Amino acid sequence: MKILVVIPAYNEEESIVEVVRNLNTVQPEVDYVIINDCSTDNTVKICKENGFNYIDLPVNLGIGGGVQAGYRYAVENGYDITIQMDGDGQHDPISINELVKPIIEKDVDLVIGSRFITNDGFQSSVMRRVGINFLKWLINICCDVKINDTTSGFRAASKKLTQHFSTEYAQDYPEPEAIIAAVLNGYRVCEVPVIMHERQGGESSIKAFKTIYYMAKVSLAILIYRIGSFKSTREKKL
Amino acid sequence: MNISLRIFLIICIVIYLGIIIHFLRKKELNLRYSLIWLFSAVVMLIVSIFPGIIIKISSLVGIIDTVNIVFVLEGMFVLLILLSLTAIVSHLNERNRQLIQAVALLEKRVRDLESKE
Repeated sequence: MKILVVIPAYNEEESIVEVVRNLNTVQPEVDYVIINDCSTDNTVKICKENGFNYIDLPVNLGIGGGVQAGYRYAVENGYDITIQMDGDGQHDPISINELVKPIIEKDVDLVIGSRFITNDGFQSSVMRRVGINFLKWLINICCDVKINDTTSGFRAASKKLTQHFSTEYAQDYPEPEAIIAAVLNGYRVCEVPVIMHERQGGESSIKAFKTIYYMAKVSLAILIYRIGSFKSTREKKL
Repeated sequence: MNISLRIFLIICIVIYLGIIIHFLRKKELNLRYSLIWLFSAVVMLIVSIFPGIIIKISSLVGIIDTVNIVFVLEGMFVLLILLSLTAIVSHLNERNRQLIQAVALLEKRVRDLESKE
């Protein structure tokens, strides 16, 4: 079972070394690739000096395009499972075992690492949780699945879904949209509890004053996606 | 519409068509993207030569002064062209993204091969 961990990194010079070292000691059999999304700090230099495995995007694409480059890399190199993990040290590599398990044992395609199921480790701010709850409700009524931590960037995708994501992946704020895309294209999605820490460095891609913009955009994207695939889901059911 | 306005409109549209065709001949405009410009020019030209069409339409939708429907028509074309531009930009953006990813993946392969040697 070849497993790839995709680590999107934008200005993560403070945390990236720690994250990769930690990953290598906890999960020595797992491969990783860092996607440097045109960082303005020394992220590339650090990757080069430490001999890390990295892809250097020549133009900034944002998180969606960056992660998709990772999925393309996974397809090119024939990986069976692709895991997405943040470069800021929020996600504990120990939880990769739990993320991978449903794919191997139960033939699930997308596994979301959730910090809300058992309330272990770091919980996020009130504002963000309100937003996440709204998205949870929206995704629940749009495609009839229950995912608690819809914005979690700690997730694993099967080979089939990796192939799909490599050709089609949401761009600006891709996490909730990717769940919808997977469900509405007939992939099986589930959620497992994972441990999350407070970030070691860097900033969240979701900043406070952008929250409303973020929510509006994501909600709209979900609704459009839902309308767009009415026909295909109906055909599948028939 | 009085005759002097019609003549003015026809002259303007002929100049407009002339500019489009000039650009097309110099290959500064892609024919694919200029179809909507040509289409708008042709429609405006027909309307100016045969104003009977829009006089009927304006009485149907309740516009009293027929000149106004010329403006409405122009406004609609501007919106349509803007929308098509946004569609073109989105399409370019998508292709650009794919190219950037492909370049990055190739760069990584080259780097890996070079370090092996």
